[in-house]
Amino acid sequence: MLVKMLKNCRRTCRDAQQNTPYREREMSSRSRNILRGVMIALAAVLIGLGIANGGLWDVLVKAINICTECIGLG
Amino acid sequence: MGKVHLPSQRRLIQLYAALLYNAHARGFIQGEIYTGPMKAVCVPGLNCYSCPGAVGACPLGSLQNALATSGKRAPHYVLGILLLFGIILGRTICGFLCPIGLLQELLHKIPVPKIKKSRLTKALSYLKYIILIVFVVLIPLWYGLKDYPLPAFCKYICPAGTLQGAAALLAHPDNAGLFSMLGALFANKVLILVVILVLCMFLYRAFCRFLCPLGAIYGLFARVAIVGVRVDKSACVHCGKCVRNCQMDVRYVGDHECIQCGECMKECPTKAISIKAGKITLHGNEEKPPKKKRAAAWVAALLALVIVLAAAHIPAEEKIDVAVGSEVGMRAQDFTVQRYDGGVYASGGQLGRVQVINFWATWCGPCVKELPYFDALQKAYPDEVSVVAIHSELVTEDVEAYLAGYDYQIPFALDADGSVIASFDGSMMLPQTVVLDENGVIVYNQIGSLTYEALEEIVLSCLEGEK
Repeated sequence: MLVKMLKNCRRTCRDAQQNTPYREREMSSRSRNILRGVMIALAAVLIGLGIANGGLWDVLVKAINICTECIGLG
Repeated sequence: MGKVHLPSQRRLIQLYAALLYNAHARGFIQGEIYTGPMKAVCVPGLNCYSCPGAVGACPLGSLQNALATSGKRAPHYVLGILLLFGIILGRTICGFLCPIGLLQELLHKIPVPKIKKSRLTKALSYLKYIILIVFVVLIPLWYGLKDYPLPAFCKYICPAGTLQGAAALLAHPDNAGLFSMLGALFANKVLILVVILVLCMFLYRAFCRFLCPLGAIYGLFARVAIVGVRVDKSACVHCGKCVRNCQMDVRYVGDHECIQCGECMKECPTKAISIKAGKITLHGNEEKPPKKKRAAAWVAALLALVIVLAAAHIPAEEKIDVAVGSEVGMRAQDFTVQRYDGGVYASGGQLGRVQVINFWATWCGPCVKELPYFDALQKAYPDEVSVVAIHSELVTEDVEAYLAGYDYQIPFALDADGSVIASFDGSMMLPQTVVLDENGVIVYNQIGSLTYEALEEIVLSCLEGEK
C-alpha cells in the first residue's frame, strides 16, 4: 500500500511538473541581479587579465593559422 | 495561389549572424583565411576559424587551445569571453546567433519522417556535457601538461571544422595540394559530419542537443542569463503546451536545454511567454514596435555588417614577392636565420649536404609531435644531412625555455619576420618541411606532418640520387 502511495505521489508530481512550464523555485530578483553584476565584473577582470598576460595574442595566433589537424587534414 | 512564407525575424537574425561571422568574402574567392586583428575576438557561436570567410575566433577552439597551454599561461581571456557571452546571452546564442544551429534547422525542413523527442533523447542530451568535460577540458589539459597542444574536440568531432574549414579550403583550386594530406583522420571527420547532417533531417538540431559542448557551456547560465525567454507566472494557465510542443528536450521554458528561440510564444494561449533582457521586453506578443524603430535597428545592423566587411578586406602589406624558387626542381633562395643557441644558420653554407628545413611552432601540436623525428634523422645521418627547425614568427612563449626541457641535437632558429617561410611559399599552415639536395635544389616542399620513415625515405632518395 505504501508503494502504491509513493507511485501515485510520483505520478502527481510528474504530471504537475509537466504542466508547470517554469521553474517553481526561482532565486529572488535581487539575488539574480547581484549575481549577474558580479559575473559581468568578473568577466571584465578576466578579459583584462587575459589581454595583459598575452592570452589575446594566443587566440590571435591560433586563429590566423590553419590548424590542419583541426580541419581533419592530418 | 499559395501562401508566401517570408523568413521569420529569428531566421533573419541567424542569417545576419552567419554573414557577420564569415564576412571575409575574399577568402572564399582566393582560398585563404583572414589573418587580420579581428581574429583576436571570439564570436559567440560555433564558427570554425579555419573557414576562409571567418573574421573572428571560434570560442570552443580558443578554449581548448587556451587550456592546452594553461601550464604556461592562465586562460583568463577565453574564460572571460565565455563568461561574458554566457551571462549576457546564454543559450540565446544557440537560438539566434549560431550558423551551425541555422544549418541544422534548415536541414530539418527537408520533408522526411521526423523523430520526436522522448526519454531517450532527453537522456542523450546529457552526452554533450560528457563531451565537454572529456574532449574540451580533460584531454587538452592532459596533453598540454606534456607540451603537446591537442584540441581534441576540434580534431576528432567538430563538424564545423570539416564543413567550414576543410571543405571550403579544398573547394578552391589553389589548395589542390591539400588533397595529399587527406587520410584516416579526414575520413573519420567526414563520416561524423555526414552522420550529423543526416540525423538533423530526422531529429531537430541533433548536434545541438546531443553533442555541442558550446551549448553545454551556455546552458550552465540558463538561470542567470540576462537575455532569454521568460514566463509571466500570473498569466500562465499551466496547460503545458509550450513544453509539449518544444522540439528541444526541455523540462520547462528557459531551462538548460532551452535555446531561447521563443517558438513557444506561438503555442501559449494566454500570451504569457516573451523574450526579455532583464526587465525589458525584446519580443513579446504586444504590437510590433513602430516602423521607424524597426528601420533604425535594421540600418544599425547593416552598418555594422558593412563595417566588418570593409575591415575584413583591408589589403594586407605585401611582405615578400611571390616566392621565387619555391617549387620542387627550383633552386631555393639562400636565407640566414638567428639560432636560439647563438650564431646563425646560413643555408648557403650547407651546400654539399642534404638540407632538411622544418617550419614549426610550440603552439602547433603536429609540429611538436614530429620534432623528435627530425632530431633522430640528424643523429642517424650526421655528416650527410643538415637539419634545422625554424620557429614561426608568431611566438607565444619563451621558445628557449621550452626547448630547455628537451635534449634535441638539431639547431633551432627563429624566422623573425616570416620571410624565410614565405620564400618557400608557406605562411599560415604548419608544419611545413622543405628538403634541399646538396646543390640547394628543392626536392620536397610540403605542408603536413611526416613520419620518421617518410622523412628518411625522402632523404635517402636524395642521397642515392646524388651518388
